[in-house]
Amino acid sequence: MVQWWKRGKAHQSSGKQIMAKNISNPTDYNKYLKRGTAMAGATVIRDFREQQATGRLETTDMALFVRTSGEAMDGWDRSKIVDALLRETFIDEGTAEEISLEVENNIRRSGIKMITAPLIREMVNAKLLERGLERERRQHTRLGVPLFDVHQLITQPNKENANVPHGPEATNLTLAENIKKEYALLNVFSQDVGDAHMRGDVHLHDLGFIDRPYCSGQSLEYIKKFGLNLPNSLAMAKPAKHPEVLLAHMVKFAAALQSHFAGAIGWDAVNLFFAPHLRGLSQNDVRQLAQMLIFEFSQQAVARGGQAIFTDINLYWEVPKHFENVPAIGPGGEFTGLTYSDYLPEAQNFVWTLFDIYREGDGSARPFFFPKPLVHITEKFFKTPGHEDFLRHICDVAGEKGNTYFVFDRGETAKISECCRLSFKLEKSDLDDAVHPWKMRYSAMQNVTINLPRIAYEAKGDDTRLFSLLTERIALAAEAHLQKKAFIERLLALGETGPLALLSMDRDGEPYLRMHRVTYLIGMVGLNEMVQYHTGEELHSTEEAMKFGLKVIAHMNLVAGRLGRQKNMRFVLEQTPAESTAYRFAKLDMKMFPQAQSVVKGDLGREEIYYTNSTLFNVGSHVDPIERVRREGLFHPLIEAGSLTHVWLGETRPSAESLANFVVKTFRMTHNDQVAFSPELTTCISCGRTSRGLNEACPYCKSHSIEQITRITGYFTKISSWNKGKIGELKDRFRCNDLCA
Amino acid sequence: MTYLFTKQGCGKCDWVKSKVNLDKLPDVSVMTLDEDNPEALAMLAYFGCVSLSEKKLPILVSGQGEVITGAIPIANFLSERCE
Ligand SMILES: [Zn+2]
Repeated sequence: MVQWWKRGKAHQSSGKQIMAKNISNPTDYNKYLKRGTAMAGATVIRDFREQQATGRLETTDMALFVRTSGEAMDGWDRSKIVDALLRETFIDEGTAEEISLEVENNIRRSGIKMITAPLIREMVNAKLLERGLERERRQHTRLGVPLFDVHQLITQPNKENANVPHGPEATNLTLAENIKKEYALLNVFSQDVGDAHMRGDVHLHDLGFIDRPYCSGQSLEYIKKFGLNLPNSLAMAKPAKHPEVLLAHMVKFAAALQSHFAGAIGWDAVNLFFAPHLRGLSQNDVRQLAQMLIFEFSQQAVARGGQAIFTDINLYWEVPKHFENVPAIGPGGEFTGLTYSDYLPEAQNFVWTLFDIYREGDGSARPFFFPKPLVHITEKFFKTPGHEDFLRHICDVAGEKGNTYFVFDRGETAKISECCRLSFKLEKSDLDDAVHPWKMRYSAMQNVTINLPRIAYEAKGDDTRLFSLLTERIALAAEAHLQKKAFIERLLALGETGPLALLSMDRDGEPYLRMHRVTYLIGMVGLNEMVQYHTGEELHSTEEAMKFGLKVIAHMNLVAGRLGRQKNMRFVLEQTPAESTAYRFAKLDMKMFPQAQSVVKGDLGREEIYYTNSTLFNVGSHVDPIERVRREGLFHPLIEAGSLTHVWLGETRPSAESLANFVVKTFRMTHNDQVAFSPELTTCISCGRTSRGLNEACPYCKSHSIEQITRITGYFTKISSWNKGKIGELKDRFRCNDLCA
Repeated sequence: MTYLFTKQGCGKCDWVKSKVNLDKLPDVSVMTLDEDNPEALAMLAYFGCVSLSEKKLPILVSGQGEVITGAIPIANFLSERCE
């Protein structure tokens, strides 16, 4: 370890400045040079002030050493400025020479003792700006993070995403995200798209993951058939023969996918596709496997940033119609000679057992945060024997722990659901693909969310203006999608030797990522506040407000469809989960549009402000739960990529029967896509027990060392990790005491 | 208000319109579903008929909220109102 290094306080990995006292001892420095220790940043090792007196020096005379970003010590060489300018920008050689001379003179005159390559770059940028060469300045810019921010990141938890823990891996993730975010805004998106994001007209999600698509849904069939044979992997595994090996493959593949997608990884019909591997297993073994599956996905994975993999498992009580006659793949990747219909008993037993595990919760009886179980409720569900008991079972879990998501596929609709509410509606060609279920892989490229309340402020009560601004914003979102698509296509074109090798891998005649089936999501935040500002009434309060809200979403649906046909891309609406966007938009609008004060929700004094998510009603409005499910559900058919209504239970524990009634009513009498019931729980760190409600102290041992838990948007987390906006929303949430009023 | 949801190029919709003199029914609003008419789509959603409209058109929603499909039942319903 280099001792002198330790003494200095102002050092950092991106190396913007290093103080002279860091290398006060030349002997130490020489040692450092000999060791060739790799450290970022740049340093001057000799004071050249004495030489200044002698007048202008030639480049080669300047005894100035620069620590470069390549972690090396170079002598001062003015030509490197010229080279960089010529390499990275469209500038002419004469100007480059001129700028390099000016910078050299500035450095010499300043009498500074040390300099870093990044600082030289900034000095060059200043010269470019002085000449009005803005484009060249952008091309020549350097991406990085201020020292102060890095310190904050390392020491303070990140509240942008409640699913990111606080730790060195998470810090690495956030730092990388910050740089990629800047890169995306400068180099992937056009300036108007980037500016619209910065202003908060729209929000481009997951900019820090610019080099990956958004999320992925698939089935186990791919790994069951092809084994775990990933590009760049050190070992290839043949198709699993044993259920626990299949589970291991599933977990590893999920981790590999997590590092290639920004968001959720969803699995279709998990209980059904596991079934052929479960035949002949004892109930004990099935239970063990169910437990392993849930724990594997719920415990903090060592994957990306220490984040648990955001996993959704789609589950069915019946054999979905489109899989009924599909030949089943069994151990070793071989067809078993039977169809999936023949494995109904194993599939049902497995899904029942999974919910036994969810019912118990983790070691502290807390709900498992992941994997999220999505049970599809279909017409066939109600025709499949045993559905009453199963519905009661999953409703019992919903009331006790809140895990169950009820996904409603009415009529002939079939879909794969994932993320907070995202779903891929299966079309005719997809259902034909079901014969080869390993082909059923769906991905969304990106999500762009539109700030709806802002449009209302800008429209100043003028309907025509409001809809024309909305059209402009949707077109902007489409433009952002085109730009991201072009970027990802360039990366994919590099094939199996490129950064997206996994998505280019071709095991079945087409790349893993099937670009022709990719969707591009357009989300919305704050419909309620938009309608409130424009019409004077909130969505839930009058029929006219509701109709106006529907007109806004219908308009979005039609414009997205029209643009999709024009560009030959699938632009579909999604209810943005908006974990941080609802807060970000509200904050930005409060600064730029003072009139936002009249509609923004939350506690303004404490800055715990937010807009209502997507098309939801005011979370605090006292609307009867089934009526909320019905009326919010009227928006759902217009939002193809998924919608969800939350029923906030608070500390109430409804009976399984009343929840089951509620679910059946929702299926039969509403158009709602998906419902989740969210209890609030407190886990005691001292005694390890979980109690009902958000308690300040543990009711069992009175300890104040507790973690409060409930659903943030589409998943459970500890409230301590929530951002201010969501804390504001939590305080406002209307908890229903009587589910079937 | 009664709403009649129709679409351009829908034979059954045209048939209903030819059978009934809609001018005589001022409280029947004819809504043509097309990509420039968010109002029509919004009302369709308001009455919970979006999925239904993918399979069946025309659709009539009476002032009492009754949903009627099928060209003949719709024509009959409207004809009774004309009398
Ligand atoms: Zn306790």
